Amino acid sequence: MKKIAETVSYLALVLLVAAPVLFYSEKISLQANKYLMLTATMVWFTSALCWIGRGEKSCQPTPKATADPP
Amino acid sequence: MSEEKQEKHGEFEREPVPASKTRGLKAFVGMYAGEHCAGTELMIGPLFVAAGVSAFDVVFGLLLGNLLAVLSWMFLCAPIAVRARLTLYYQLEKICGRNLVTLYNLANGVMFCFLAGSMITVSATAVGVWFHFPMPGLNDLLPNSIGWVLAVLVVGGLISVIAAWGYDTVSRVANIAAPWMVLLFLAFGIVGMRQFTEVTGAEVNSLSSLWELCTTHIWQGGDPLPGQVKFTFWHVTFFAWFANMAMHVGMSDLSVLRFAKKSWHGIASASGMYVGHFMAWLAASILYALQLHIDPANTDVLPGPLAYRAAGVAGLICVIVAGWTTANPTIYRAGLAFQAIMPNKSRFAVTIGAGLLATFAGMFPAIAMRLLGFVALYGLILMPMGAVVFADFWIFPKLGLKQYYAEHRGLKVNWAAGAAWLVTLAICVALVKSGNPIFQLYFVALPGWFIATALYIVLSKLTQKGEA
Repeated sequence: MKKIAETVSYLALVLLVAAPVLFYSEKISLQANKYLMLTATMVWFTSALCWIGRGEKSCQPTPKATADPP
Repeated sequence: MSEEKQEKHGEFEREPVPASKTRGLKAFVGMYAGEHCAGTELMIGPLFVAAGVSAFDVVFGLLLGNLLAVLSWMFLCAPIAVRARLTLYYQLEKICGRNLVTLYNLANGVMFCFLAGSMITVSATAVGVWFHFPMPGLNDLLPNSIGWVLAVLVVGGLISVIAAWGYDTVSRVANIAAPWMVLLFLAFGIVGMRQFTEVTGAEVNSLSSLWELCTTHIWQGGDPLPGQVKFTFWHVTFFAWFANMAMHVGMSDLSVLRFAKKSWHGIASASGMYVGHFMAWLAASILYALQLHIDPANTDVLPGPLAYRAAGVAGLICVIVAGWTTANPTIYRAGLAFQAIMPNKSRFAVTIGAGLLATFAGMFPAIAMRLLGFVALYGLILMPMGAVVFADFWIFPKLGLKQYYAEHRGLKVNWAAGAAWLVTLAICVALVKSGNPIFQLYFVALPGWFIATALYIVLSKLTQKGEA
């Protein structure tokens, strides 16, 4: 399940970049580009929730506090 | 043991990070890339255009300035971080004494609140696209509509409550959003470029024709918009170098890089600089330049409408998420800083208080619309303490001076460090006020660092006389 979610997430990111590239090369309209980017956004957040940060520690060691209290 | 105490214990707040807990380069690359692709990037890029930058100045100024920032992380901050492996707070406490660190925390907390306020401002501009209330213009200093005040209140209130409830959830959302957000910023740039070729009729089929479009239409140079400071190559370079001065030269990232296995892992900051402070700034500036090209009278720097025109609802979500995920940890950090001053207050209450201050600040567009100056000021205020840490760590042993003097003498205030901080700031303010262009706010931190270092050494020589 995690593998599938991961694959779907990456495909969403590919779509997120592909849509503006297609718009740039005049293959799709601006409106279509916006729809595709919204679709990619929804798919990314839905699928990424299933695998990012699950059962692993954040890569950020601290909340980057400049001056943590003791 | 309470959860909070366990968390603190796990973060080694008052002891060096053991070798077994150190992390590799990869962990820092992702962290820096996410951290520096924030809501404020959507303000800074357009403000460069408003400041009248030329294509050469902005592109090569950012390349050089970001390189200098990465080198500052690698050669100033990281070497101390991996040797001492202590938080900035604990290291400062050993050098400066508890009371001086409290004053530092107060300054830090207030600056964090203002910074978070500008991030709330950014998110609120996305709300304006949906609800169509009047939003602030480039030269507005005060809130200009009830709708704007309500939008900031709602966005700021939500962000504050979430920040007070816990950092972990926000951290997870930020981790999830980071790769999406980076690519969306890239998308802004690609869409903006395409729209530019449409409205100008320019043909872009080679690097030289792309550069031609950049120089003649996007970053044309010339006079800044009314009320803005003219930005040259050196302004862009120094701004990019010092945008995160508090983190590298100011040593705030000792708290992060103490977990690095090697000091060269400071190079990971390049991911944040060249993704967030190069690509994202340029992409956002393209969108604003397009707006000005279509309607030169529309000088409003409003990330919400800018993003909506390029990417629709996805763009609006990006503006909200970018502002939210970066305002949240900033408010959380402000809460931590204030809690050090009021240890008897709960973290929840202090964070809510910090959030309210940030929300109040966010209502005033003056901070967001003058973000270039505010960012420079923020770095300047915290920089002298970085110079103090640098001198204490590297120079004092060579001069036979006592390191960690406050700890050694049991002092609440190390006056040498305190005077170095405050006198440096006073000198820098006087230099800025002198009106000499080489001492503008954007540049003055460079001589300021040398002044702070020299002052701390000289004053320590005096205070430590006869103690060697």
